[in-house]
Amino acid sequence: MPHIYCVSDRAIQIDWNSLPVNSVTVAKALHKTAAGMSLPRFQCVQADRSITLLFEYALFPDVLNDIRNNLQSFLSQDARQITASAPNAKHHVLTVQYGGAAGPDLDWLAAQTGLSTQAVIDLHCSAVYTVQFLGFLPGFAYLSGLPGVLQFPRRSQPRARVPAGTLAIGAEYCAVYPWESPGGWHLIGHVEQCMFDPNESDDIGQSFFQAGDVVQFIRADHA
Amino acid sequence: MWFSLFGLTMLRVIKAQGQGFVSDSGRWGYQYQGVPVGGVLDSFSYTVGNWALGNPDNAACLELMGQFVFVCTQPGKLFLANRGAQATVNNKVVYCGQVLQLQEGDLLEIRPPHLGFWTLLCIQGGIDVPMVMGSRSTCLAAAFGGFEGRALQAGDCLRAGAEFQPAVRQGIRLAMPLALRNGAEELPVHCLPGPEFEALNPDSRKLFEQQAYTVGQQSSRMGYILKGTHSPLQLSNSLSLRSHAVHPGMVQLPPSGNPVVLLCEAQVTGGYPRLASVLACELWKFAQLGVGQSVNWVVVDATQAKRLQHQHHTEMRRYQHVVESNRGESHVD
Repeated sequence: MPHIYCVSDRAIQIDWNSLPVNSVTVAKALHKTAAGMSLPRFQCVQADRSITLLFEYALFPDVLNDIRNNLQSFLSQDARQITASAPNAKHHVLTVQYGGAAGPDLDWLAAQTGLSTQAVIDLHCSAVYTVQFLGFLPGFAYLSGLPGVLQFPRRSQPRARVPAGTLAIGAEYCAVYPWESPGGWHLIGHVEQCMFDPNESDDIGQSFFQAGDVVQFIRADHA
Repeated sequence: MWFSLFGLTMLRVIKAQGQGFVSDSGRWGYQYQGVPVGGVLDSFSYTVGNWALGNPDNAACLELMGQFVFVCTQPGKLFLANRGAQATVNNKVVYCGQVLQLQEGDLLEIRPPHLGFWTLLCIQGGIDVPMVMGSRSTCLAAAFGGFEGRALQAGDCLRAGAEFQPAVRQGIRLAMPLALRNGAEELPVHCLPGPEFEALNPDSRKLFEQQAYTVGQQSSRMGYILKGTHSPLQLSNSLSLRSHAVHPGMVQLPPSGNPVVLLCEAQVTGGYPRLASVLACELWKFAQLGVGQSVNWVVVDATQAKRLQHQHHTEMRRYQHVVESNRGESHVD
């Protein structure tokens, strides 16, 4: 049973401690349920094994607590059904230009792991990644599934400027920087794909990656 | 709704020394895609400003930090919404809280405000820029929305929208929201305890409300860094939290021990312990604080929070009443 609690006067968080929860499916179920419960307008923001219901306007704490209680009974009844249902996720295959100017940390990574640069690339390409959640910047997706050997803490000195399209790894995640920004992750390559289009329709979504999507990378010279 | 016979107000930027953005109530509903809410820092004054001009609730305004000069190229009405705003029209001092009628050729000069950093300038009809993802606010992190996705520059021409109701009559001056009567005092801010409040060590738990905090140099529209005047706060044991959704108003504790209150441009996820959350109806108050000024936390329970939320609603209704009973007639003046 997930842990459900009020975070503020406008947010309720649901934490799953053990289940590898499919947050997209849960978010959909919550919106469907909310329609029946006539809840005030909210959105579901996914994070690492949690979903936060973010309400558009602040609510009285007692009202928010009633909603929390209703969610609790809803989730205890329907939890099994929700987590069992299959997601409707997209599968992306992205071509990566590994190393070079866009991937200055690839050799460092090889040295740290004791692998050859080629082996690091092969290992990175062999994994199947899942979009866990988006944060940091519009369209910045945290991809889980990075092989343990390639997991390293972020740099102690972040770079002032990481170009848009840079493929990077940080701790247990892998990500593509959608915009130029400062960044503390290890940079390993470049992806051409536009990661966020603010003029895209809401049906498709502005972010190329959406939570729940499955992602694989292939090297440009093998594409 | 009616339409101005004079056409569209235009302001041309003559001087932009600092940062100026087109802003509104924010881009709500896209946080699950990593998009910050954005929008104005002081939503209270913004709302009253739009009411006073007869604007739609979400009409876009300007948020300006620094010195700006505009020339008016078409007659129109403006409203300085933030308490402490400093401005002149043709070198004559004008005040916040009243409708300003500008004529073609008038020079509007904005100087840094007495309170906080940002001047909130509302324009009748709102700034007419394209709606991007439900908002006209500038998303700086990704360079979209607002005026071409960027800060204002000299030479930019701002057009006003044409939909509005009559404004408050000239000569009527509203007392705009004031967070603190005396800038030397500490601003009390009411907050609800956060999920990790109990993770503070017993001393820090006491200290949380007892000490004052000064606004640090590194503060920005993403968040204000608050340095304890007595000492940094400490957890009983170090905590490793998974990333969770965060929102403006949340008070986080980074390893430095100096709490950070998240503001409008905050990222949508974070991983620091959540000590508290500012009541949404009090978040606007941070807009009137500058570096070196102090706040202190007042932790409230659900009942006290509800009373404060009620009080705020009452105050909003009072402003609405004053505005409605002082609107001009619907002819062109």
